[in-house]
Amino acid sequence: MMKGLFIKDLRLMKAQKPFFGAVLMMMTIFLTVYTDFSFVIAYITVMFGVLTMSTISIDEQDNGLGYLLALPVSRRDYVKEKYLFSIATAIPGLMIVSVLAFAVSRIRGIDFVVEEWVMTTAVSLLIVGVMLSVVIPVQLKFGADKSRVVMLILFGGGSLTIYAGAKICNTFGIDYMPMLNWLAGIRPTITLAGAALVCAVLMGVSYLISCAFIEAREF
Amino acid sequence: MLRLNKVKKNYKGFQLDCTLEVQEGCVTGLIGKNGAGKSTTFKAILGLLHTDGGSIEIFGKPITEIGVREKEDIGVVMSDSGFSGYLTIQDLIPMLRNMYPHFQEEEFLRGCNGQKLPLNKKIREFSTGMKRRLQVLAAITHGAKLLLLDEPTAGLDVIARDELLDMLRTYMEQDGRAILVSSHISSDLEGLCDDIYMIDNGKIVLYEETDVLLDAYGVLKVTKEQYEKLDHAHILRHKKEEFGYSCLTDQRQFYQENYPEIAIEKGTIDELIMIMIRGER
Repeated sequence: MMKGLFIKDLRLMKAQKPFFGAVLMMMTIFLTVYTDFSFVIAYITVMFGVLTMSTISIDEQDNGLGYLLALPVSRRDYVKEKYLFSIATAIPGLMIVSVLAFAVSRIRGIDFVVEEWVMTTAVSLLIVGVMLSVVIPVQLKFGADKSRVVMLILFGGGSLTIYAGAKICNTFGIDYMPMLNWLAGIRPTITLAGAALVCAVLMGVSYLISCAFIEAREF
Repeated sequence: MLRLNKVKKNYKGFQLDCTLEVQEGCVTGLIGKNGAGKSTTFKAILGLLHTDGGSIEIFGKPITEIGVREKEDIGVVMSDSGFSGYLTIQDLIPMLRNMYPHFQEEEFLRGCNGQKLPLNKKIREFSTGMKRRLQVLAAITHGAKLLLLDEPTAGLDVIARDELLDMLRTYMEQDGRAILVSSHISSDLEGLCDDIYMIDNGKIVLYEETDVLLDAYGVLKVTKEQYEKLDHAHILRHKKEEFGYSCLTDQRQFYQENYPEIAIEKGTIDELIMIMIRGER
C-alpha cells in the first residue's frame, strides 16, 4: 500500500518538471558564479526538502487527502510514507549537490577544504532535518493554507527567541562564545554523525506528533 | 454488508442521526437535498470523521476494526474530492496496481477507452463528469464487494448518467456485492435501487423498497372540505396548496377505492420527497 503512495509521490515529482528545471538552473548558476559553496549546498538541499512539503500540499488540494484515505491507505501509513519520501529525496539531493560542489570547487580552484565541505554537509543535513521535522506535522495539522501562516509564526518566533537569548546573555554577561568555539572545534566527521543522529531523533519525534495530528483530523 | 446504528455527528446547527442498512445483493439509495447529511454519512462510514455516537459495521466488523485489508474490498466515489489533479490516468495505474491486489488493469483501461478518458492528460483538466467517471471506474475494477458512491452522477449529462448507471448494473450482476449510492436526482435512483432511504436535516425520514414506493405511495390532491372528511389513518404528510392540500399516502389503493372523487396521483419520487420534507404530519 505504501508502495502505491510512494509511486504517486514520484509521479507528482515528475509532474513538477518546472520546479526541477529551476533548481537545476540555480544550481548551475551558483556553482559557476558563486564562490560560497556552503550556501549552495544548504540552499539546494532545502529545495529538495521542499519537494515533500509540496506533495502534501498537492494531496490536500480539493480535499484529495480525504479521498486518498478512503482508499486502502491507513492514516499512519500515509504519515510514514511522507517521512520515508522526505528522506529518500533530501538525502540523495544533499549527496548529489555536495559531491558536485566539491568537484566543481576543485575544477575552479576554489578554496573549499574537506573539513569545511563535511561541516557544510552536516549543517545542511541538520537544516533540512529540522525543517522537515517541523513542517510535516504543521502541514498535516493545519492543512496547506493555514500551515504557511503557522510556519511564519514558528520561524519568526524561533528567530526572535535566538535574538532574545543572545541579548539576555549579553545583558547578564554570559559568554556563549566558548560553546560556539567548542562546536566549531569538533571533528567534521563527528559533526556529520551528530547531525545525522539529531535528525533521526527529531524525525522520530516529529513522526509521532504527525501521527497524533492526522489521527485527530477530519476530512 | 453495511449497518449504521444511530450514528451521530454534531456540527454547529446540524446533527446527523442516521440508521441504515445495506444488504448483500442490494443497491440501496440515499436520497436527500444538498446539505441533508448524505456526504457526512459517507464520510462517517469511511472513517473520515470522528462520530459522536452510534455504531458502524462493515462486512460484520465494527469500523474500528476496518483496516487496509477490508478497504481493498470497498470502492469509493466521493462527491467533493478525488485523485490529485496533477496526475494522469497513466500515473494512477501503477499506484492502483500497488494498492489493490485484485486491480483489473485491462478492464480499467478498457473502461477508460470506452468512456473516452485520455490517459496522458492531467486530471485537473478533466471535466467534472470525466473525473466522476474515472472514480467510478477505479471503484469497480478491483473486485470490490461494497461500493460507496456519493453523488456519482453529479455533473454528468443524461447520456453519461445512463452509461454510468449501466456500469453499476453490470457490476451488480456478480453475487456477493452491494452498493450504497447517494444522489439528489431521484430518477437516477428510481431505476437502480432496490430500496431507498430519504434523509433530511441529518435524519432518515423515510425508508422503503423502491417498488413499494412507486406502487403503493401516492399524492392526494384535495380541497379543504375533502381534506376534513378524509380518513387520515394512512396520510404520512400534508402540505398546504392554493387549491387545498397535497397529501402523501403509503396506501394509494385504499384512497382510490374509498374516495373515487379525489384526484390521486402516483407521483414521482421527487414529488414524494418534496411532500415528505416540506409537509407536516
